Amino acid sequence: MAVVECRQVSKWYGTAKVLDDVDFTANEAEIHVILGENGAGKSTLVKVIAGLVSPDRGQVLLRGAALKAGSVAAAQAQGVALIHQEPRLFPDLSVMENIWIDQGSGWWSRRRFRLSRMAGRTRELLGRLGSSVSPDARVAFLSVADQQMIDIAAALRKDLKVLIVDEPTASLTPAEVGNLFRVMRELRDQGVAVIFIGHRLEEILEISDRITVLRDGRLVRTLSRDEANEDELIRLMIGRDIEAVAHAPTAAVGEVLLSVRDLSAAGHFSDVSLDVRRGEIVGIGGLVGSGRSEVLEAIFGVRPRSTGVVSVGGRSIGSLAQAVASGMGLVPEDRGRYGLVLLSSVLNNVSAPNLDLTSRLGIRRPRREQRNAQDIVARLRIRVSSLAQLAGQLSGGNQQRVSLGKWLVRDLDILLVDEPTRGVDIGSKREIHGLLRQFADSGKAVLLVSSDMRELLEVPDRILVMREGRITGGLSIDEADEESVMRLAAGIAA
Amino acid sequence: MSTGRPGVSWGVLIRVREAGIAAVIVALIAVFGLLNPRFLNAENLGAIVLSVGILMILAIGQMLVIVTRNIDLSVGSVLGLSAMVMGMVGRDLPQVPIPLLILIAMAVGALAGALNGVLVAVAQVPAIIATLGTLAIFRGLTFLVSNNVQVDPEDIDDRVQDLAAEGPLGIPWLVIFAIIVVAVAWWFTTRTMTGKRLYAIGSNPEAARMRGLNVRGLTFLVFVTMGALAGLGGAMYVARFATVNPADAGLGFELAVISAVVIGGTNIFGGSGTVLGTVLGTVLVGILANGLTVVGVSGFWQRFASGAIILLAIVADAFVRRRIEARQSQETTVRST
Repeated sequence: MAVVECRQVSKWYGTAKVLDDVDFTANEAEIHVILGENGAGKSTLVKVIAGLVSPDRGQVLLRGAALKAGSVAAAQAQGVALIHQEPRLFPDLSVMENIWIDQGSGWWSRRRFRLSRMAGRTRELLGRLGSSVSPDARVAFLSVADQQMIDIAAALRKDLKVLIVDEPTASLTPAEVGNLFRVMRELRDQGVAVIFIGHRLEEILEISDRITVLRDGRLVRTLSRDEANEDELIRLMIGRDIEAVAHAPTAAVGEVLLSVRDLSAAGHFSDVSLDVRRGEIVGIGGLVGSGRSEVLEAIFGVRPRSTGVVSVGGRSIGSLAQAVASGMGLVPEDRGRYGLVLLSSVLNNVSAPNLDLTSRLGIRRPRREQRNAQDIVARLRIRVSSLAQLAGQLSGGNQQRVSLGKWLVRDLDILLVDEPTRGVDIGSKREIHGLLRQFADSGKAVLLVSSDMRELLEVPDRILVMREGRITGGLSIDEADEESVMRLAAGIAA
Repeated sequence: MSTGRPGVSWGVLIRVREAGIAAVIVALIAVFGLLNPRFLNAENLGAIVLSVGILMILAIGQMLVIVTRNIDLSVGSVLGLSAMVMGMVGRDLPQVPIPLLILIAMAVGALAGALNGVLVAVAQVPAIIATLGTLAIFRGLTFLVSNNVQVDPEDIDDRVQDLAAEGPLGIPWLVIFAIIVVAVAWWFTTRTMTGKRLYAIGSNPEAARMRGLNVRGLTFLVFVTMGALAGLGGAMYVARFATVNPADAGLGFELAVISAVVIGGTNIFGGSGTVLGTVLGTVLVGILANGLTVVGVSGFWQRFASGAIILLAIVADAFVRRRIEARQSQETTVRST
């Protein structure tokens, strides 16, 4: 039986039509995966179902009754919960408070905050997710992975009819993903309609009962899992075939460009030494929280170091300003917070780190900035309505391209990239990988942190693995496979 | 707790902060007491309790406002306006019973708060701008309704004045009201879902909207509450000073109130703050103001010194907070790997 029914739903953002006459149905007791490239309209569609966005045309029926357009409360009353890509929690509140905060009516809830009972129920909910966070812990102090589990636990608490999960697996460890899938299956077996937005095809084929593919705001096809295979899905998603980047080791690896010796940041990582040569992409693998991102930040000079030396071409780098002057750029993991200014235009975002090149005597030269930005938008095939569009209005993959592209304006020598394809569709993923390879092939160096095992095994020339703040081993691309990386990451002897 | 990872409770953080404020209070009492023993005599301590009482009623309201990531700069003017209306009603209609006079003051305050609430919650004007405007509007209204004539002590019923002197068990009603406000606020913030939601709104307004919390309704409610409490403060002001001058009733009160709240550990960016902290912050500000006068610091230096001590307290507090948070998040990181 159809629990969610979208009838001819259309939505425009400005002049861009993000949803075009979409008729989408999700049944009870099924896991329905929505698949599509960046900007295909997946997130907008689920936001319409969750009442966060009101459609310009068409309507959503929940169990046969029309949903009041754009009302989160109405959707929630019908048992719809949306788990976001980035957890949306209250950092000042405890785990327990985060989970129970919307209990009772929206206006005036006299229900008392029964601490002992709620703590017990909270532990039970988190236990179902395989999480062992304390109900009293303050959320601000928790890792992203823990926070996602809390977000999911908050949805589990309610009388769930429809659970929408928007690509939560990118920052989860394999064990956590396994847990999530187990919970999704359990809920499905209890009759919940589970809608899942994902990007990893292996995952999708494993978990789905049905798959709906969106492209350019249109529903291309809904197919059952038995009808689906990777090639077919890719073809439906992008409307053309793409070949996987077969790993071709670079011809010429040059001299050492970036050298790191005994780098430590108290409480995060210690004694990290590594070299990256010209023409080389070095990958860093490891579990979430193993200190990989912190290493990149310390190299770039945005995280204080306790000890150690970073040098570029033999010259020691002590500060962020020196790092940038030496031709280094960092593309951070959290693009929304550190990689971009979401409330500013694409033009300003691309210009921001390059004003020294485009201004004269402290006065900006708009035409030069525009030329640079246009060049980047064209080179990286960023989908924007105009350069004045706000970065926050772009889809995830396009945001990531802007975050990366802003550095490509400069003649950089070293790119530090942290999870460059997290929450990015498969087409963009390949293109970003191609860009990194092209960059390295032109005699430059890339240091890549990734939790995506395929990316880690396909893109770099060699891999370092970190565990609990230390580098536990290095692997050449030929000897690296999923197992050898996981052994080093988890600290299991070979 | 067999499955519970020993996570970081923010109770620890708050307790450290509150112990710090308490220590500063004790130190101030010792210093002022040594410099002038008169600071510790019963009459002066009584004066401190009364001024702290009025300040506390407003500071509790302000804490709730700040917790939701807003601020109310108009509290001094609201206090003045409601004190003036109550004083004039008492003068012109002597038959009005005292409880009704207090309710009138609170109603005037609540109406003023409702205007702030509409501006902030409905018209979406940033609170700092909206209440800066109403600060002037309510002060102006006070002049208008009073025709710039002050309400004199002989116009104010003795029984009103007794509110600041007598009460059950010899505790003045003013103090009883302050205690009730504190107790209700403590219950509200720690034991009701609505109380927790105020913190949620201030902690992450966007998430609050997405979780379906009534952000606008609660914001409005908080401003109305603040207004009603400022009205109660106005009534207590009439009782204590037995004079309402339109030009200076509650003038500059917002500074003391906001200082008390922030010293009490409420995050000025919303999301955290406790009733106990606010109580301690209020006591500290009250003692400081009184003590500086008693030890004979000149008026000019008093302002300078109270500002400096407030800044010092906040800087020290921020420093301690950062240290603790850094250590806690480190421990969490290590544990979760």
